[in-house]
Amino acid sequence: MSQSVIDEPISVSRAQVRSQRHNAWFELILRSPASMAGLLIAIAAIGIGLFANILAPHDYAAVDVTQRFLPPSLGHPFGTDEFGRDLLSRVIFGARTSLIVALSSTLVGATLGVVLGVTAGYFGRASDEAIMRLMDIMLAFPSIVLGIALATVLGPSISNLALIIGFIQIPAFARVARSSTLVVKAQEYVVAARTLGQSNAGIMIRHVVPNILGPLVVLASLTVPGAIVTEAALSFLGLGVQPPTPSWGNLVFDGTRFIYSYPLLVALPGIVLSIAVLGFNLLGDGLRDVLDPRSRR
Amino acid sequence: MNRLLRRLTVFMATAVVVAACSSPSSSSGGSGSPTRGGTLTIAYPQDPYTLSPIHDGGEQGHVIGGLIRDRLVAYDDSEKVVPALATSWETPDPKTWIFHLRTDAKFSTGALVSATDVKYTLDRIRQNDSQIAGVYGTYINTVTIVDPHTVNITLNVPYPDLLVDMADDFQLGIVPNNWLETCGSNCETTVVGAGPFMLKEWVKGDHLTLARNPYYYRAPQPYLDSVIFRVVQNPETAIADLRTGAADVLYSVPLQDVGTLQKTSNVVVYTHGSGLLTEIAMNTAVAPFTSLAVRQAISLGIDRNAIVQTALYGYGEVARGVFPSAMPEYDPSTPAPTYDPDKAKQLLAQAGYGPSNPLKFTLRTTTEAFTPDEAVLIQSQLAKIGVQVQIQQVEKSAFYGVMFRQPGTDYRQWQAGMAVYFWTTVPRWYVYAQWDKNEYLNSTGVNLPGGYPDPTLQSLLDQARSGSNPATLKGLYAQINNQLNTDALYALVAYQQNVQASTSKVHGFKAFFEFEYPLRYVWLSK
Amino acid sequence: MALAVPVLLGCSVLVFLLIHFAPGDPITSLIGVYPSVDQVAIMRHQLGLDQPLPIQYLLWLGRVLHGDLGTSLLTHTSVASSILQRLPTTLLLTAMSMAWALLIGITLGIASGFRRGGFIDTVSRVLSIIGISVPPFLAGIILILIFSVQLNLFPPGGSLDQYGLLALVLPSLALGIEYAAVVLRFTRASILEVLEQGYIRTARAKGLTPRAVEYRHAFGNALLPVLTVVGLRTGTLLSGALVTENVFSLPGLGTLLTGAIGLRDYPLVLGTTLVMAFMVVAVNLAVDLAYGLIDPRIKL
Repeated sequence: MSQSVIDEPISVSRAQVRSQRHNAWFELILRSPASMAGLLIAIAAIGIGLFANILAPHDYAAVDVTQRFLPPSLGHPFGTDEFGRDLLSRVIFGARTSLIVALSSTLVGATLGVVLGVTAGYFGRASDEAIMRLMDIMLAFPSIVLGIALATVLGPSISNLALIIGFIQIPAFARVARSSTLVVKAQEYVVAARTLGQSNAGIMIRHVVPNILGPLVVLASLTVPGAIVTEAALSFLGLGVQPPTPSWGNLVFDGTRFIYSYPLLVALPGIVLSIAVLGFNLLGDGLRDVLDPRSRR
Repeated sequence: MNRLLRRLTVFMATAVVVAACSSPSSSSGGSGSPTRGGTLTIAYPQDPYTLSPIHDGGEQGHVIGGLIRDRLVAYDDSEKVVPALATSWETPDPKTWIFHLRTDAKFSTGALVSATDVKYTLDRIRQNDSQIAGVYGTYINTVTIVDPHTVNITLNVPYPDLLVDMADDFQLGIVPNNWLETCGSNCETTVVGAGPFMLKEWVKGDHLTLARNPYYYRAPQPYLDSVIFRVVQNPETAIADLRTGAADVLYSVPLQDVGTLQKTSNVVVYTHGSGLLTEIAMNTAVAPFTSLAVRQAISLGIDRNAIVQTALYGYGEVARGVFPSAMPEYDPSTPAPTYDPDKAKQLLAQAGYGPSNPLKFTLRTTTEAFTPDEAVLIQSQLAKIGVQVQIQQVEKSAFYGVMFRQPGTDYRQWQAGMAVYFWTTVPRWYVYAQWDKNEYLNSTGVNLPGGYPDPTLQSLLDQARSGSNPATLKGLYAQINNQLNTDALYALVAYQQNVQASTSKVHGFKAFFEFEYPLRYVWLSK
Repeated sequence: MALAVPVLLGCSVLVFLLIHFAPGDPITSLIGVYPSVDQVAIMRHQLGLDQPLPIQYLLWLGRVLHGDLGTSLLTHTSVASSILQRLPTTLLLTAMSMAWALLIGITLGIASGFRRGGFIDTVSRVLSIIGISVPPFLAGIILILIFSVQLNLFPPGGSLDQYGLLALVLPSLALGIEYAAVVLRFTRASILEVLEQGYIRTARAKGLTPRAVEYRHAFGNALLPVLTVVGLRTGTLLSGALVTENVFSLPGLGTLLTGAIGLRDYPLVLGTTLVMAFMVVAVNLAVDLAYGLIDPRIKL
């Protein structure tokens, strides 16, 4: 839920963006330790999610009622939960679930948002009005309400959650895409392309979209942590991923029951979740510093 | 659901001693004699929906209503039925009950209670606009005023458990004549009765305050000056409140925290058997549960002891048959369900399932009570016999939507459901509502028309429904249990215990099946 | 401004459709024990649930336009009164969160902007990190763990009635930390930007002392981004408030709404979301106006 919405158009030229993209990674590495840390955390999180099968020491669903509530040990570095399941393995697989939901929902939101935003910005007038009103409607809700309502209708499952959270992210992407499109639309190469008779769709795909990627990438990297948190919040309200599949969110939710008897069940997944959210936020900030010349330090 | 909860204590026999529970029920120390005064604060998870006599108030409505509205008979502190608004009664025939009212009972307004009020209440709740008409309409026929302190109630069917029902069911609690016609805009938010307490204040979502009814006929009870029910949704917050003294009593204690509370020095924990049952109902109309072997295998593959120890933290009992041990109808000789994974695997093989063709099904649960935990355990237990269970957690509204015929729902989608089941009226009504061919309701939330085609079971149900002799009924219930096992329609899992807690300042408190303990016995020490 | 109306209308349509498509309906919450199919049908008819959806919506809309938000299907009391009763808690929670955010964020932001690299700067950075990484509900749980369970200083939940504003201390802190971090960064960045601008040179040329220069100009220009944050964040703040209310079991609009959705209490759901949407729209409008007032260079 902690997104920064960038509303102002960004004036860059195509060449500038290209060279910036080339230099982006370079500059990131040379830049602040914060962005570096963010990048590393993000890569680690994704890596853990990808290689969960190999990394997890135990089967995350292996119930063993003789091993309940064990404190951390060599065999169980994070201890065990109320069913005797290894908490570390559950956190590792939780990474996979949370990141799948976060990344795919961001993809959904970005794709649909960009389509809507570019259309609105490019065609202007009626479609612009209509689309932006629709976005306003969606933004007028506290996002979690929309999430709850949609989850109630569709039912919780990983794919549904990706769609739901993605849906919530659409307006932010649409707005950024639109304002960037407005700027790009006025550039010489676009005007030239139109004069040459290229189709609107062609122009949008070939000229507009590549040139608005900068702020979109920034927004995407800042949306991922928000999506992780939204999934966690929905799990907290009982609308998250189904048991016994772990996600960071439902691990925290399950753990709150034991806040008196065994607080590690809440604390450890919570810390891991926070670190991941932090990482993506730092990464996003770093990318923004590079890709957005008017960045706020 | 509230009516089920209400009903769940109905069977408590009038003169029979309370049946043994799986762990001794405790009561708070009676050090010293009761002193009058003080305010008791109770933390409960939510408000009643309403206090109106003709609307459904939910589980908490049951509790609050029970304290305000006195019935013709009531419970004492040993779960025995004792006279209340009625001092004596006769039954000249099984369908007629004549109640003699006491002459000194007064409503909290000061008005005397008379037969007119009784007739008004019992008639009014059966009228068309009453949400609860369906229940009382089926067995109350007429209510006649014989004289200002005598009422004649005739029933449609013989109902030997009427007294128990009345003691428990606050909705039979008497309100003043023409109450609903004179309550104006407050009909939902206040009610008047002749019970030990009266409503003083209700701030919805926050707290509800009851004050002593100054005209209550059982002086010096109630000892408490007032009782405040505070809404504390989060069970862990409630525990914090108890420890700090912000609450004196906890309405229900989450089982995973009982251990913590028992170690806390100024806290007393009370346990009692309850009728809170979890069971897996299998939809016999769809695959794979059309096969008897499969159903039996599922039941054999569940380690109920492990579930009680793990999911219920030991505060429960394995379900043996359809009655919990706290009910008088419980028969200790009912065999406990067996856990036999090898036999289960054999049965599955018989039905054509095995390692190359594993049995897969979807188990729907809600998030009520400990069903999600139990579902996880069952999933892992059934995995050991090669069955792959997919758990689908749905919200309560969605779960029961099928049962209530919400347009667009189709019961045929459901394979198996795991739900919490609370007791309904009298035991025979429970078994009847569940398995009778005209009702056939199972906890997948499905009313399957035509019921389960087993003439033996049906005939047993019919006999039990019309029987009234306890000895005969006992035999019938044993046979019903037997037949249910043979048919393997359900896998009954476990009964949870009812656990409550208080600070050590609270005296005279006990746990019953739920929170229906008469608070007029409770007093506070300084 | 006239755009607010179609937005609200759109919100109501969206929520209406969503809640009606959710499986289950109010009947499942209302009827205690298993009723006959006829009884269910009667109740559905009594509640008007068997009519086609567009009709149901228009009936509701008609009543709303007459100022009637309807009656809760479960408690039979007016939706408006339920909302009014719960509104103060939510408003106070959001206000106190904003207060924490502004208090902590602005002071630390200014201090670290002026004393870049100092101790305060480090503290600010740490706080920023915590703020942006720990989601409000998690912050809430941790605060409960520390200040309620261990230290017994604050109640882990409860109501205004019971504890007064004390009940809101932990929840507003949990909710406010995140925004404090954002405000801090915006403020700090603004200060830095301003310090590099010409304002300072001009002001010094006018003969103002350095101190006065700092406080008057830098502070004034720090306001703008703060306003942006406040404005853009109302929606997310309400979201956070909703979850925070659940964590702390506060009797506010958030818990009212989640409860109503769970029970499929249609009028209550529709009424509450309408009010919430209205609040967001209203704040956004106010911020737009304020923006225009503070910086006349910005066209609305």
